[in-house]
Amino acid sequence: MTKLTDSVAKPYRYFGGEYNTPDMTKPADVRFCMCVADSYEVGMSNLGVRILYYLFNSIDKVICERCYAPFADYEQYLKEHCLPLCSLETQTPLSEFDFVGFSMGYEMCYSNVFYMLELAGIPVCAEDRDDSYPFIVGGGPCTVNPEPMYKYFDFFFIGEGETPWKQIIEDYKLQKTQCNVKKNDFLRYVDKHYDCIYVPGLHPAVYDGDRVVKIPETRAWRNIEPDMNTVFTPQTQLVPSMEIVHDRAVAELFRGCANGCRFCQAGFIYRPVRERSPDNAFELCKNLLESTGYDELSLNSLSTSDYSGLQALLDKLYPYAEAHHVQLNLPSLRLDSFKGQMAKGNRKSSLTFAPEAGTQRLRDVINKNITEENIFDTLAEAFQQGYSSVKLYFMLGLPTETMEDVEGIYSLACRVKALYKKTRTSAKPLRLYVSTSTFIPKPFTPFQWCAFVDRDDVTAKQKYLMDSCKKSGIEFSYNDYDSSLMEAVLARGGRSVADALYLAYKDGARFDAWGEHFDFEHYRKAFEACGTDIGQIVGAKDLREVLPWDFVDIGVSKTYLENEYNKAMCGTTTPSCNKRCNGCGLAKYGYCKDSHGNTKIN
Amino acid sequence: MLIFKFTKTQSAALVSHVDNLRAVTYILRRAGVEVDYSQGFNPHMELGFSAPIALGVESLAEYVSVKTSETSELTERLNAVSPAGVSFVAQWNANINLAATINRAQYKLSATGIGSVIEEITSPGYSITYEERGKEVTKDVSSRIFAANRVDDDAAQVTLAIGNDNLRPDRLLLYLMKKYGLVGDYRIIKLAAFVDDVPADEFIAAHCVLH
Repeated sequence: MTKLTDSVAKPYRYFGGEYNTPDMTKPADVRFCMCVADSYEVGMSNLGVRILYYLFNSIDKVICERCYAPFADYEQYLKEHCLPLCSLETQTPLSEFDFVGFSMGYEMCYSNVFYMLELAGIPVCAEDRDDSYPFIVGGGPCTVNPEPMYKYFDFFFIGEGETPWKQIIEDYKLQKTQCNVKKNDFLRYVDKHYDCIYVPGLHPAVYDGDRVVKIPETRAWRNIEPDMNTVFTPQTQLVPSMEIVHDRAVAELFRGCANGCRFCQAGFIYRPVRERSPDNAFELCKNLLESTGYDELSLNSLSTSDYSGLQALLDKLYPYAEAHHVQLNLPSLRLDSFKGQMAKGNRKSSLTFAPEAGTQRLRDVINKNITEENIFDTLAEAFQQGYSSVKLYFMLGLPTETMEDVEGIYSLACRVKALYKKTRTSAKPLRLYVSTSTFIPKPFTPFQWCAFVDRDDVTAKQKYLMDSCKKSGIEFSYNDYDSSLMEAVLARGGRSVADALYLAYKDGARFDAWGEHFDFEHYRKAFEACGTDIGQIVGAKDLREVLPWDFVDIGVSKTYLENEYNKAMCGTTTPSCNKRCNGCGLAKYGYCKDSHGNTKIN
Repeated sequence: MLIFKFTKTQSAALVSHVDNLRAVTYILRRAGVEVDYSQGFNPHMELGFSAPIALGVESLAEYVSVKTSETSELTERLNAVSPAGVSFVAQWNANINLAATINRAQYKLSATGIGSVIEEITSPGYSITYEERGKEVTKDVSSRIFAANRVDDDAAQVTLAIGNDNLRPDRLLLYLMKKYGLVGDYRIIKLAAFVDDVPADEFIAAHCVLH
């Protein structure tokens, strides 16, 4: 025990020593520090970071380490001892790496990027960093609109990284060892040679207040890995000796989602569906479990029950899991494909469904292809099996939503109660939770032109649900308006919000994704000081308007999104990509040859 | 039942007792050791640990009992799949409730000047003052102190009670540092465990089950 353990909670999270840590002593020409701008427990659960960490460490003479955002107690400790923020593995200051990469998994982590850079003694603005500092790079889903953070990063990587990143690092290694390449020269090089890299410093944009007038003159392509069976896939993962958020083996079954729900950004920016074969997936599960010793396994994807090989995989997995004391978790079961057998062997604890909207009309608008019949058939089956706890997730503030749709949420919940009365086999009373979040119209969805809901509007709807649920013994919860508003600003903003974000950090914003830390006041003050009009950012956009993120090409055409928007306004649904090709634009790049979009035509 | 002695040093010393239980479970699973599982809704491995040590105290003498029918020498297999700082150093075949049996531990305390003041703790009726849940508490701990020796000016060895009615070594050390104004960082290593006066290794060896 030392002074460190006296003053810092769970110090393990700052020092690592996890089982399966790659060799950190090998000779290295390139050192990469992979960061997640959130706590160790959250960051360690990130699958993308996990893949790139093992990918980089598999390259000759390349070492990749990790760093996460410290909590206030360790920040204090570092400051008191005049220590910079260091990597976990070798306790090397971040400033001594060649690259410091941030995984931008959700917008609300942006303030922690500033926090980590400043703790590391690295200037936050790209233009203030000379050749002695590392490249600060960003990747992950948020980089489909990188503009709010444009001045703080040297470059962004857009899309899936497995193939290009390996080449980028090899290129850098060569140029560094052979000609001691200058930072700007390397930036110009990657800008020219990699269409999935965006170097904001080389591509100016023009704004009129918070409106973009001229977007960067470049096209940033979202990289798509064509084949899940051959893509680099670590067959192991780090095993921390303390609990993390997703503390289990996680096997990725497929990328993309065929459903095309119009509110869901992931449904568009991870297209097309690319599945791992059931045999490949089973080998992966087995290797992960054996190399980690974990006794719990999650199958990961955007919609696991849509996996075409699910039955084949489960036929192998169930006996394996039983023989090896492994608990299986099957997340994101869509309501319409939940079948009794899928919950087999699981404890009859709680069922979670996301109808998202309270009426069929609104579910058609958002293209959530579920009918009330699906919902009640599934629930009847579940109640007969003895389930007694149901969670229903909805969104408020969806485009075209009226009070009737909100009443539909309550009415749906009441009918679930009635159904339980009729079909229950459990002696327990029904526990029914209704939870609403506030819809955020995100870039690259058909709703990207829609406005974020007004505070008064959503408050009235929340109050209605709160009052009616209370009367009927239904537990109701909703999320904080301000944090959704802030997420909307970060997701939809352009370069004009960048200064305010740093200012808010200076005022104390950090760990914004954590309800107990988020304080909108920091941002309100910053927007006021910078003259930012957030109404302009979260407000409705004209279909002909240029959007700040229009220079990013996710492969789905803007025309398709516009058509989907128009169909939404008419309440017309679009079938799953598994049923037919809806022409989103990806097919012309050679994807989606068969119904599961698994094969790239060449 | 197998009993293992293992170390908990480097970053493994920063792992709490509960987390360490999980870490050892994963080690046994990775090594492919067939361990008995409990019955019931949430089956878990049948493991029994010696009394917990405080977070941050390094240890050369932790013990765990493992309910298994395996009898072969496993320490090498376990070490091949253990994280940094965890190393299995001995193995016995014995049935002992470790937490209830092992009741003393010997520690090395390192802090500037500690060697010169340590020997006062063996005086009769010795009391220390410490903070517990925000309140200052003074307590007679003499029955929980069994030995104290100066190693050099900046190091001492003490033997204290563990398990029920224990005395935390960090609590004792911090009290002395405060009392004598000793400054700087400190370090505590658990060197050995005892059953009364008998070294735990000897005690376990004497209770081994023969095949």
